[in-house]
Order: sequence, then structure tokens, then C-alpha cells
Amino acid sequence: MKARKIFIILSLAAGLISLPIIHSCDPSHLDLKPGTETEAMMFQSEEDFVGAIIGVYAKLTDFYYFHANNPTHPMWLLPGDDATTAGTSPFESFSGMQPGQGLLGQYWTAAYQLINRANVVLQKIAEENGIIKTPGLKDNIKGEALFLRGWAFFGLYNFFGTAPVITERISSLKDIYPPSSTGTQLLDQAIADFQEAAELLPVSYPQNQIGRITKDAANGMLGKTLVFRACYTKNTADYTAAITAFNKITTRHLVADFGANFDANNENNEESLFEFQASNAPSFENIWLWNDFDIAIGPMSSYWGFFYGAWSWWNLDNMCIVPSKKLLMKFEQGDPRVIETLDTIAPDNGNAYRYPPMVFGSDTIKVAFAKYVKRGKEGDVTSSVDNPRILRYADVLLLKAEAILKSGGSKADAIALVNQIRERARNSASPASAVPADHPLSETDENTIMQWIMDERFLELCAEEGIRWLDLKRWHAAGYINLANWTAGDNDFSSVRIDFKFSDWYNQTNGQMLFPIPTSEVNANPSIKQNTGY
Amino acid sequence: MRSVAAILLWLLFSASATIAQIQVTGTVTSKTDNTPMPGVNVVVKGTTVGTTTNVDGAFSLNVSDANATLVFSFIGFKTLEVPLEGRKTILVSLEEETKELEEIVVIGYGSRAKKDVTTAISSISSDDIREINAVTPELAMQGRMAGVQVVSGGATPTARPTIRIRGMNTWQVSSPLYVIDGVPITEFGSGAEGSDPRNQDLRSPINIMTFINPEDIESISVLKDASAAAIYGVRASNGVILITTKRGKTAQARVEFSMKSGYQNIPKKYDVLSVPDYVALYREAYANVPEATDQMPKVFDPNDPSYLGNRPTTDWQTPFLNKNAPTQDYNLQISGAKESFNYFLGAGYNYTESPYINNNIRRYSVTSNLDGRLSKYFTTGLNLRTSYSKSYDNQGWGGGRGNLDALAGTTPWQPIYDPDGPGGYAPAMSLAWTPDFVANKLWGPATNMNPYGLMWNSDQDYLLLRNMGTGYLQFEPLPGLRFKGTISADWYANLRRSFTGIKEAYFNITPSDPLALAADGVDDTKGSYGERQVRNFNLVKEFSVLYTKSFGNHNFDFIFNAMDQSYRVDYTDASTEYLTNAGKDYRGVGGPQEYVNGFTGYDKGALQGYMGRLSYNYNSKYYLDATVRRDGTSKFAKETRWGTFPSFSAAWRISAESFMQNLTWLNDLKIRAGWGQLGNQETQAFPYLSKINRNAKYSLGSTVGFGNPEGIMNIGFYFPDFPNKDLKWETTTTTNFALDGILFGGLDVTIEYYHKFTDGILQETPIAPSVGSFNNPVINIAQVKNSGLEIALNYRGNIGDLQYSVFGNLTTNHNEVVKMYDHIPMGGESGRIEEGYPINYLWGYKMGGIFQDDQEVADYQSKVTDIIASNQHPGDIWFKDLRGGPDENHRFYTPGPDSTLNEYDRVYLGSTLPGFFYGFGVNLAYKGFDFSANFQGVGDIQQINGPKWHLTGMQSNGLNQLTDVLDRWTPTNKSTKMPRAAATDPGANTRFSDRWVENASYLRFAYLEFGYTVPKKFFDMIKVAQGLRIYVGGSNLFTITKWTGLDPENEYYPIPRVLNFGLRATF
Repeated sequence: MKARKIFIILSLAAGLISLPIIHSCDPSHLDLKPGTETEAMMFQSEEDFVGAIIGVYAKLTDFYYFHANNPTHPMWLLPGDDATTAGTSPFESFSGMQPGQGLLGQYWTAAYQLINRANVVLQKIAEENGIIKTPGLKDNIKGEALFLRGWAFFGLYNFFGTAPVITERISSLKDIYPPSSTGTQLLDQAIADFQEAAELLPVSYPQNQIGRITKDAANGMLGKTLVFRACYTKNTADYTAAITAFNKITTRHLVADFGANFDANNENNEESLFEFQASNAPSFENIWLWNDFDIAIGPMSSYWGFFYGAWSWWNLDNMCIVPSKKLLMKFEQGDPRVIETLDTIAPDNGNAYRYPPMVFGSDTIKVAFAKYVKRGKEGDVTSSVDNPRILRYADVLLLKAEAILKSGGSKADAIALVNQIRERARNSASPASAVPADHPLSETDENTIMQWIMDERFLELCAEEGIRWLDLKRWHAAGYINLANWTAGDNDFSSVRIDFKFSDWYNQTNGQMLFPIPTSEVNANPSIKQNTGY
Repeated sequence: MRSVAAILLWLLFSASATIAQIQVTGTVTSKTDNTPMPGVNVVVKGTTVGTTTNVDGAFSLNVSDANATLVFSFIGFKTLEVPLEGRKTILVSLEEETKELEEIVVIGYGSRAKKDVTTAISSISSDDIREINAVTPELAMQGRMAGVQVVSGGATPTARPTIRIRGMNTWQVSSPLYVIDGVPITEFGSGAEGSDPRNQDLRSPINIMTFINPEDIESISVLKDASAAAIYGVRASNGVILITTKRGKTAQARVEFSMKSGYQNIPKKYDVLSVPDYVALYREAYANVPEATDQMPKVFDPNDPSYLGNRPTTDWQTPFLNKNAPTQDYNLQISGAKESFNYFLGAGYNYTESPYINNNIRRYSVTSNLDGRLSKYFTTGLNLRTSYSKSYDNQGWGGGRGNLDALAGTTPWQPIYDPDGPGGYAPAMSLAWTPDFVANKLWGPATNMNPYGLMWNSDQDYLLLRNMGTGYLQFEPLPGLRFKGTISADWYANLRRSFTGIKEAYFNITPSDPLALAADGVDDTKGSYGERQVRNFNLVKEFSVLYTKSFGNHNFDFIFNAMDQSYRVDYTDASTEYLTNAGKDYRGVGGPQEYVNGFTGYDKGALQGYMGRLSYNYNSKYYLDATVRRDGTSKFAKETRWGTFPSFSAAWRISAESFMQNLTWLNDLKIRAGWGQLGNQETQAFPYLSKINRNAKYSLGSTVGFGNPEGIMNIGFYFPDFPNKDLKWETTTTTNFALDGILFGGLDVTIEYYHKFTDGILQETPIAPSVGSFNNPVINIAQVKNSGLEIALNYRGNIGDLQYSVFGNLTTNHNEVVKMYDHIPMGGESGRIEEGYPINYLWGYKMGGIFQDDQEVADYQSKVTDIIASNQHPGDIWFKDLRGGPDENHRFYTPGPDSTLNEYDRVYLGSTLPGFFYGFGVNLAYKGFDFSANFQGVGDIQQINGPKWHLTGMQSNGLNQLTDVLDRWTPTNKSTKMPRAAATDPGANTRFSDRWVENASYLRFAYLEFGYTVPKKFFDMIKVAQGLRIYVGGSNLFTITKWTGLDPENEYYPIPRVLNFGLRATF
């Protein structure tokens, strides 16, 4: 009896004690699933392909938002002669340009993450077999991925000259040392991407998807990139190809009002080919974080505070990006574009101290840019919903004029295109202004006409998308202008910085005027060749 | 099956029954107070025959040999061997252990006499722990243990200290593992997942160790080498801190009450400029830089109506100090041991205010530890611990300005108070609606937010409820053989409640429109409010087999342990921007849907481990311990998730050899050596899988004709990872050689050399950005080496009635990164990681001197082009040209000058890891009086003096500056230390350079205490209590250091000076 009792107790005890053993010894306890879905679960439906391409678009945010008080814009706006700043920036003074410069790494990283996302989409589209059923959807998504990738290569070429051309997703540690490109490989790839995209993309989208890339956008970027390549390779066939591409644009035209191009309430208008679709995160924009941080608060906005004195909150180091004196002097009095482009700062404005004074004869004035930040059109300057117009039809028309002129086409046609821009400018005021008047179609001197084109681009496209710096650089390469001797003076770069050192930098880079490849890339990738001068 | 088991059991139990012949009875009492001692182990020496004493301290035992020797043992008492010499009744009295040799050290799954320890373990007892003036127990280790570096988290009572055991192994997570009464602690955010700022935010700033009442702790043991820590191998590679809480010991119920009360103060503040000096400085700074002269804000111009230079100087720092911040601690503990049952019950209350305003913690804690003997074969026990704390933490608000450094830099003309302002605080902004919301800075471009106003307008507290429990059942079929099953659970919920009122816009320099919600047609909001709850659950299941056996002089000890741990965290967050009532009691998330936000989430992990340890000693002379672990983790892919980690340690007690017996001055001498490996799995979750991020989003459809410019949000996704399926355990190999000795009857010495080598560091590797991966892959690649010497000395003695003890310890550490992935250095200027250097070294430019005149500038510029400076003038700093850019033979930089000063000229400026740290102290007791003093320090350490960096920069008008800048360079004061004032800093004098690097070594008078114990005679007369000790003490009394800031240990939240008094009574 007693033994039996002991036995029962012991069995019970053994059971209790061994419970943990049984549990402990089950190795499947370690087979946990992550709290997020994995790649293996995706691309089982059309929806997944659409989600993936949206993810590529989303990366555009990195280029255009506040970026935790470190926006990328100075990198492309300040080197041009249209904008200047009193603040310290190597992109304005061309001194202190170093591989460790944060914005370079920021731009480079964003561009390659975008390329990576596009390559993932292209990989999945190539592997797709019967899941996408909607007619045209597969081509459409592929075209968008190609376009966005091409856009990233276009930028990389213009700023860095050489950079890895990556057209397939890298997923093995063996392949993490992609080599630098040579020559115009980056542009060549961009052109190939735009060309293919133009074949695949639709002409338009339903209302609720406006903002996605169209056939016109691909032809626009294709033509633009061809014009750029023509400048660097001096191959006039590219100009002809560019005209062909531009001629395929069917649905775009200049809008009546120049100012509509910077107005948040006039986004994706008929002049627009490609815009970053700025918006607001559903909960609130936390501009100190990044787009894909969180659905609710990751920023979706654009940033314009650098025009507006809202750049920096705690010191004066980073002052506004303001119009250069050269730009102020270039506008004809009465050009309706002036009030949409420039804004005179009243002396009692609390932010006036941020704007460097410009001396005109006996007058000292302070001027700001009005594009995108003109009252009532911009929304909040630190997290704006106003879309940056990356490519608009005015840009296309002027590029086309340049291509016609430089490929030996009709000079009158080229002048007429410039006049289209001027005419729209005149008509942007009510009543219409007399200036800028049309250029005479009879002009035959190529240099004069080219100067008109260059001047028109200067006024029409100033402080947009870094267009001016990229123009200066390519025109220099093509020999239309010579930057070698440009100074800070009123007619050259028009910089307010007295430490301006363009010629030093020009010589240092052997006239290539390329930014250094970021340290993060050079350190981690032995196959990369640093640009001359760094 | 059943019959086999029955036979086995019969065999086991019959053994002791058949041989018994002589019955011996006796009583065991405590020598200290002559009370009977229950639960004492009584064993016949050399056999497994034994029993334990009953509630009256009595025992009865059958022995086969009338001349056998009985061994009496009880934790905390000296083991006594009594030869029977034919006696059948014996009276034994046990002496409490005081001598070092017999000190019992908790080693994990048991304890051992110190003389028998073969591994590297430091420990402190409750006497040391109760001396500290902290809510949380970690600080008790500071300066008390060789090899253990404790860096205070600062004055905030809820701050987490940083603990490094024998240096820094790795850079992901190098904090040790805490094991409380056998339960390995997990905390979401403390591991690699904490590097995600989102998770860090979820983790909350409250140190979860505050849930342990230091008064409940019996001992803290730190397992430093692999052989020691192997016992808790999973996650143990950074060392293990074993916290053992008190249990009942004495037959008579023991009631102890203690209370402690103190006051804390911050001894130092920054000396900053008055308004006139501040104005003069910046007027000069603008005048000095022609391109910036025009930029001088009007508020510095005496001729301008907005001039602020004639305003009074505001002291921004003093109001932030909570003068005489109280600390209070009350504890009541009841403990005792009956024949088959011992108990410990404790309750405590602590209230501690931070020496800075708006921060405090209030903690209630209850503990019960129970052990019961069910029968001869079964023992069971239950530990339960509940703690509830409420921490008020309203300093984070104000955009991180809640520290002296930020306050010192506030423009001195800006006021704090204004009777007409909201809440009596002076606004920073003027607000207008004309009709758009416009906020203008009231105090010029350099207007600062008013953190006092922000704090008045907001609330933030944390409610932490934690329950931890362990239950075990032990089966002991034979003396020496035990099977033990344990289940432990640790659960805590942390609730954060945050409130911000609508007056924030007045004090915040980046305000949003407080009436924005009213514009939508609903009533005015009264503020925003959010609640966030994070619930951690940690479940540990263990099964152990323990067997102890002796054959003659051969003593064996065997442990097998299987452990399964799973943890999970869930979080819930809800917030609203719309409150109908701001009153503390009426807040809640609800109201109009469009203002309500919320999210939930979880994380989980699992670990398994098997461990076998065999310990052998021959006659307490030769020792060998061998441990093998096999650990699995859910972090890695199936193929690589299991790792095997062996360790060995051996010791030779030379003093036990006969040839050493003549050396009377040498009481004990032991040589020991150990080698072993442990794994570390801390890295991001599921690094072998390609996960999805569904937060990428893009808006479409914003057109003129189709709604607003925001468009419609489309949610996309991308794959952020670069998965690495080959990832495996990071391994730390430790090697030790040590000498333990006791000399001259009381001098306890340990000298130990350690070497730790961490291989396969789970490194988030910065691969080329052109690869385009959002997250860097985790690769097992880097290697780090730590080595050093530990010396610990302890001497106890007496001169007549004066008893004294002196202790001292010193640890040296040499830390070096041996290998990086593809040799690529990582990290920024304040924490660089590079081959051949210590982890997180300071990396920057070297200051050469200050240009005294134009000629010096010209001379310098003829040799070196400084491309970081945009302009250089007399009074600017010149920096040394030390390196050049990469070339064919040098991948990252070329040694030697290259005439260009650029980013390649950044060099090693100092190590942020201490080369050595130490502690020493003295204890005296004379009759009823006692005195103790402890010192603690670190050496050979450099830190960047952050406040000095931006409070002597003189480049922007946004910051007030330290009075050090009064000695700045001017043409008439040609300073060689402080450069000129220069707006926008064209000379880039403020670049990261050795100008800001300071020696952060210090020696701190950590603790002083005087006590008086009322004589026992007194209580014998009044019979109210049994003992009473009263004491007064002080902490952090002074610090000797070359550091020029407030505190070399924690510059931003300096450690307070504390004066306290207390009493401890037993009944």
C-alpha cells in the first residue's frame, strides 16, 4: 500500500519534472516565423506587382523631402549660376568638396536603392508566368521600372560621371563590388531604358492614377538624355534621335499660365511630363524620418523651405538658396515670369536676415525665390504637398529647339520654339504683357540663336531640378560656353560667397567638374575608381 | 515498464535502510545567538548517508561506524566535521562564515566554497549592496568587482547604467545577461533590435532593473569567463550577472525593518556669458567675418529697435535643478526556516526624485521566496516577485533640451517666466492668425524653445508592472542525486501616458497651429494624448540532473541541464490629437475618428540550450571542471542555428600539498586556468530571410480636376534586406590564468590575466551603396580582442577591539579590433571602428595651433591647402596635415602629409574605453561604531567634451557660450588656446578635433558611512527589538579629475551628491 502510494507520487513527480524536458527537447520551438511577410510569399497576385512598382516610386521621396533637416537640393541647385547662398556649402563655393560630403552619399544611396527596387521589379516581371492577367499591365509596370531606373542613371551620370551600371539585382555577397562605368555608359543605359519604356508605357492613366509614368514622359526623358549625350560625345545623330523622340509626345502642351507649373493646385497639368507626387503621410508627416519608416508618419512630402528661410531652425550656417544677381539682372522688366519666380523680401520680414543683400547701383535689396513657395500655392514649406516638376514641356520645347539648331535643322523652327515659351510668358499676365517679345525668325547666326536658347532656359527653368548646373556643364563639354574662367562675378556664377573657388575646383577635377564618388562607396567597393581630383 | 521502475526505486531506497546500525541524535545551534538551526545538512563523511535537522535543530541518524565523522553544513555557516568517537548524542554549534576561505560563491545551479572555485567569478553580498543610494541594484557593483565596469546612466533614477565585463566584445550588443534567481531576463529593445529607433522608442527610457529592490538581494555574482558563464551559456558571451535573492535561514522568525532617507544635489553648473558679454562676443564674431557681417541679426544692433542687448541675464540652469531632491526607501522583511519549510517575505517602498525637475520614480515591491520539503525525496519552492513603479519623466519634452548643457546654451536675454504668459512662462513665439497661422520668434533668430513652458504644458509618465515567478520541484532519490524541473515566467507591462497641451505653440520654435483642429468645424481641442503599452513575456523551462558523489578523496559533481526559453513582446499604441478635457483624470483616447491613431505589433524569439558540466576534485587539491553547451536560436536559419561551445577550467590548490604546510604565513594558494567558448546570437531578427517592408508609399491622382494636391495614397513595398543564409553564432573565446591566495591570515589576493577573442562578430556590414540594399547584410566577419589583468585584494584584521578591513581592485583592459569585413572601417568621428584600434575610438583632426598673424597664415597656406576651411585668418586654428587620400597602395588613406588638409587627415584622437578602472575602500568597526569609505575610478580614457564643443564654438548666434571664450584670440589677446570669434566659422575651427577631446579619467569618493549599532544588552533589557543600527552617509562626495566639464562619467546628467541617513532594526 505504502509502496503503491510512493509509486503514484513518484510517477506524478516524474511527470511534473519531465514536462519541461519534453518541452525543452522540441527543436521546432526555434522555427519562428517573422512578424512580417517574406519575399517568398510575394508576387502571387497582380496586386503584388503593382505594390512593387509603387515601392520604386516611393524612393523618389528621398530626393525631394526635408530629409531630417538635410535636404539634397543644395547639391543640384547651388552649383548653377541662377542660385546662390550666403551659407556655407561646397556646392556654392566649390571649396571643400570632399568624398565624405553628406549630400553626395545621400543622393548616391537613394539613386541606387531606387535602381535596386526597379531591378527587383524587372526580375519579378521576367519570372512572372501567368499571374498578371490584365492586358497591358505587365508592359506598363516594366516600362515604369525601366523609366525610373533610367532616370537614376541620368542623374548619376550628370553629377558623378562614372558609377556602376547595375541592371540586375545583386543578391550574392560575391557580387557586391560592381565596377565603375566608363565614358557615357550611364547615359547609354538610361537611353536604352527610356527607349524600351517608351514602347511599353501607356499614353494615359485613369484619373486616380495620374502621376504614373506615361509614354510621353519616357519620350521626353529619352530626348533629353539624347541631347545630353550629344553634348558630351558631339554626335549629332543623337540630336536627330532626340527630335524624333520629342515628336512622339502627343498629349503635352504649354499651359496658359506660367505660374501654374509651381502651384500645388495645378499638379500633373498638361505641361507636366514627370513629377514627384508630393503628399502627406496619413497620420502626420514626421519629416525627421523617412518615407518607408512607417505607413502612418513616414514622409511623402516635398520640401521648399530652402527658398523660404525655413531651412534651419537653430543656426545660420545653412541660409536660404536665393536668386543670383545674374538672374535678377537677366529678367526683362515686365516679364510676367518675374513675380512667379522672384520675391522681394520686405525689410521687416522676420527672416530677412537670412537673405544676402544684392547691390544694384545705390540700392540694396534682398530677394527670394517665389517658385513653389509663393503664398497660397505651396502648402507648408517644411512638408509641402507641392510636386516638384521634374520634366515639363517647356524644358522639352527648348531642348528640341537646341536639337534642331545643332543638327542643322531649320533655324526658324528653333526660334519659333523659343518664341512659344516667350509668348506663353507674355500671356501669363492679365492683361498680357509686351515682354518678353518674340525673337525675329529671320536670325541666322547659330551662336546668337543658341544664346537665345540658353538665356531662355536660364529664365524659364531657373531653380528647378538643378537644370541650370547640368546645362552649364554639358554646354561647356559641347563647347558652346567656356566655364574655365568663370568667377563669382555678376556675369558668371554670381556667388555671394567671397570664398568662391570655382577655378581651383575646375583645375582640380581636370575640367571634368564631377563630384567625388562618396566615401561610403569608395571604401566598400575596391572596383570603384574615384573621380579625378579627389 | 512499471515493474522495472518499481524495482529500480526499490533498489535505490533499500540501500540506506539495510546497513543502519547505530542511532546518533543531536542538536545543532547557531553560535551567534544560540538558537536551534533547522534544515542543517548532516552527512556521514565519505558516505551518502545523511539527514537534516528539524524545527528544533534536532536530528537523528543511523551510522554503521561508531567512530564515523559527521559533517554539518548550512549555507552561510562554516561546515563543521565532528568525529563521533563513540558518542551517541552530540551538541553542535555552527559558526557563521566570516573567513574568506569558506565564503560561498553562487556559481549558477549551485554554490561553492570560494577555495573550490576554478573560474573567474566576482561577487558581492547584501552588506555591500545595501550601502548604495540607488533604486536599481547594478550600481552596487561599481568599483567593487575586478573586471566589471559600471558606468552610471546619470542622475535620473530610472536611467540605465552601462555595464561591461572585461571590456567590449562586439559592437552590436555588449551588455551582460542578467539572471535573477535562475531566470534569464529578456527585454525588448535591449538586444540588436534596439538599434532600430522605433524599437528604442517602444522600449521606453525606464530601466527595467529598477523592479528589483536592492534590499531583497542576497548576493550578486558576476560570471566573467566562459567556464563560469557557460552554465548560462545562451546569451552569456558578454558575461552573466547572477542575482540571488534572500531566503529564510534562521529558526526564529526574523523581522527586519530598514529605512533610508537622503537628499541629492548637483554640485556643478556651467559658467556662461552674461547678456553684455554674449552680445559683445557675437558682434565681434560678425565683425570678424566680412562675408557674414551683413548677416548679423538686428537683435545684436544697439541702434535697432529690436536690440535685445540691454535685457537682463537669465539663469537658465538653476530652475532645472531640483534642490535637495529626496530619496526615501522603506523595507520590511520577515524570514525564517522551519523543519521542512523556509520563507522570506519582503515589502518595500521607494520614492526617489531626480536632482533635476520633473523626474521621479515611486516603486512598490513585494517578494516572497518559499522552499518546502514535501517528503524525504521531494522539495519544492516558489519565488514570486511583484513590483509596480510609476515614473514621472517629463524632461524628454522640450526637444531634448532637458539637460544642463542645452540650457546653458540658451540665449541669456530670453526670459523663462512672464506673469502674463501661459502658465506664467515666457513664450518663445508670438502667434497670430491673419488669417493664416503665423508664428514669429520673439527673441531674434536665435530664439530657443522654452523648455520650462513646454514641461508645464505636458506630462509624461510610465507605469511599470512586473511579475516574476519561479516554481520548481526537486526529486532527490538518493543523497547527492537530484532531478529538478523549473518553470519561470517573467511578465511586465510598461504603460506610457503622454499628454501635450495646446499652449505648446507658444514655447516651441517650430509650432503647429493649435487651432488647426478647430478649423475643421469641431470644438477646440484641449491637447493631444497618447497611451502606449508594451508587454514583455518571457517563459523559461528547465530540467536539470545534478549528481554529487565522493569516493574517498575523489569528489565528483555532475550537472546536466536542458533549457527552453521563449519570449514575446506585444505593443499597443493609441493616441488622439483631440482631447475634450486636459485634466489629468479625464484624459483618454477617443473622440473624433480622424484625430485618432493607433498601431500594434509584436516580436518574438526562442532559445534552447543543453549543458553538461562535470566537476572533479581530488582531496580539494586538484580541480577540473569541464562544460559543454549546445545552443540553438531562432535567429538563424535552420542549418546554422545550433552551435556547440566547450569550456574547461582547472585549479591546483598548492597550499593543500604537504610540502607547503610549513609556510605558516600562507593560508591558501591556488593556481587556476580556464579556457572556453560562448556564443552570441544578438543581431537583427531573421537576417537569413528577405522580408518585406510595406511602408513605402506614394501618392497618385492629384490633378486639377480630381481633388486635392495630396492625391490618393498607394501602399507599395520593397525588400529592405540582403539576406545571409550562412549566418551563424558569434563566438567569444576566453582564456584566463589566475592566482588566488590568502596570506597572513587575512589578506585575500586574486591576480588574474584574461584574454578574450571574439570571432565572427555579427556585423551589419556597410557594403557598397551601389548594391542598393536598404539594410546592410549581417555577416560573421569581424574580430575583437580584449585582454588585461585583474587584481583584487582584501585584508581583514583587528587591533584589539578595532576591527578593520581594506579592499582594493584594479582591472586593466586592452581592446583592439583585429579584423573588419574586407578591412572596411565603419562609424563616425565620435565612434570609429577600424582594424588595429579600440572599438569606438575618437577620430578627427589634430589641432596644430592658432595663427597669430597674417604671416603665419601665409606660411601655412604655402604648404597646406585646408579645403575644409573656406577662409583662414589670424586667430583661426591651423590643423595638421597628417595623411593623404587613397592611392594604388593604400586603400583608405596614405600616411604622411600631402599638402592638402581634407577628410583623410582625421586620425586617432583617443579611446573611449578605459585602459583601467579600479576601486578601493576601508571598513572600520570599534565596539558599536562602524565606518566605511569607498573610492572608485577609471583611467586612460578619453571622451569628447560635447558641451565644450558647441559652447565654445563662437560661430553662431544661437548659443550662449561658456566663460572660457572670454579668453578668445583677439589682436590684443593673442591666445594660443581659444581661437577668435568668427560667425559661420570660415576657418572651420569647430570641426571634430582633439580640441574637444579630454582625459575622462577620474577618482571618485564614491561612498562614506558612519554607523552605530545599539548594544545587545540594551535590547535584552527592553525586549522590543533585537538589534538596531543607525547610520549617516554620503555618496559621490568629491571627484578628482582633469575633465573640465561637469562630470567625466556622465556629462549630460551628472551624478548627484547624496547625503543620507537610515536605520535598520531587527525584531
